Parts: sequence; structure tokens; C-alpha cells
Amino acid sequence: MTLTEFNDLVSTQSRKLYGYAFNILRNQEEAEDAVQEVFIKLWKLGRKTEEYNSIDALIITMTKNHCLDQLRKRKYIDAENQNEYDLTGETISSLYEAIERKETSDILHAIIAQLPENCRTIIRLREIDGFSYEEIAKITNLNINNLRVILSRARKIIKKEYLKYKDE
Amino acid sequence: MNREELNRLLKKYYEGKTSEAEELILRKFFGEKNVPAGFEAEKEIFGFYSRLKKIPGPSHDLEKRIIAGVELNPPARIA
Repeated sequence: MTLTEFNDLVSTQSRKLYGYAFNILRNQEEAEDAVQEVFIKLWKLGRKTEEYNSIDALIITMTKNHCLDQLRKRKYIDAENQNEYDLTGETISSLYEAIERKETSDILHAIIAQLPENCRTIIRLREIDGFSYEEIAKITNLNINNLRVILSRARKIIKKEYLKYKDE
Repeated sequence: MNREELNRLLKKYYEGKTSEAEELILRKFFGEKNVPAGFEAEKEIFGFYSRLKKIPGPSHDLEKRIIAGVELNPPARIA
């Protein structure tokens, strides 16, 4: 892998891997460190990376393994209620749930990415960023009725496409 | 929430006619563990939005730091 190819990979994949790591580690700093470690490991592999069919799949696996190692090494601190847990059965199962969920997330990310641009923007603003209808109207210069029509279309597409993927 | 009420709210939701308060009710409902059968897709979709909300963005210089860290570590050479 050349330095240019590597830099491209960092700029296109870092944030995705960060989200993946965050879902497992539930901590911003640790998730960032995990991504950094994975890229260092990848870079150290040098030409060995040519033995893999998909670098994207490789770095996801590396991130998953790295995060699981981190959890095994440390006591797992629940970020939300600050209770300390040993890595009990319950924690492990919630961890695997997180990994399962990640597949659903990939599907939904892909569906949203393929929406028409106006649908995508409004879904992000309303469902993810949580802006009010009034604020979205201001941001997009649409009146509230129009943006509700677009939102309706987007919500229906997301469900329909999601069911289609799930059935496959 | 009973099934009838849930169906009524979801119908409004898909028509883009729910109020902000009603959407909050739906979000909370699908965030609970036991969601009745037949609403699996909504549970996944609402869950997805909630999880995205909960993930704080990484530092703006994440990529820069990765590249900087990597420059200190030369790649393996194949003999």
C-alpha cells in the first residue's frame, strides 16, 4: 500500500471505524485511540495487506478485535451510569448485541446515503440531529408543509428498503 | 401504549404529520426492551437514530493524528 492509498483510507474510513469502536467501547477517547492503533497496525503490515481481498473488511475486523481486547484488558466502565462492571456474562452479551446492531446500522447508513438529496438532508436534520420543524424550515428554506411531504416520502422509503434488505 | 394507538401514531409518522411531542413518544416507546411483534422494523430504525444521536463526534483532527502517529512507525519490509 502506498502512502497515498493509505491516506485515502484514513480520510474515508476513520470516522466510520470511530463509530464502530464507539458502539463497543462507549467512550470517545478510547474509540479514537482504537482507530489510531488499528491504522498503525495496518501500516506496519506493509505489503502484507496485499494478501487480503478487502482492506475495508480487514480494518473492520481489526477494529472489532482491538476493541474486544481493550474490554478484556480493562474493567468495563459503563459510560452512561459510571458503574464499574467486571466483564460479566451480561456485559459480553450486550457487547455482541452491539456488534449485531452494527450490521443493522450498516444497512440503514447505506439506505440513507442512497436517498434523494432533499430526503437525506431532512431525515438527518429531523431524526438524527433532532432539529425542530421550525428550525428545519429555516435551514432548508422550505415551508413546513413541503418539508413534511419530503419527510413522509423519506420515512416510507427507509422502511420499505430496510424490509427489502432484511428479507434478502 | 396499546396497539391501536401505536398504529395510529405510526400512520401519522409515515405521513409526515406527527407533532414533535408525538415523535418523542414513538422514540421512547421503541427505545424500550419489549416492543410488540410486528414492529421490529420500527424498533431497528428508531434505535438506529437514537444510537447515532448518542455517539459524540470524534475530534476534528482525528485523521491528522492518525497520519502523524503512523509516520513514526515504518511499514514492515518483506525480505
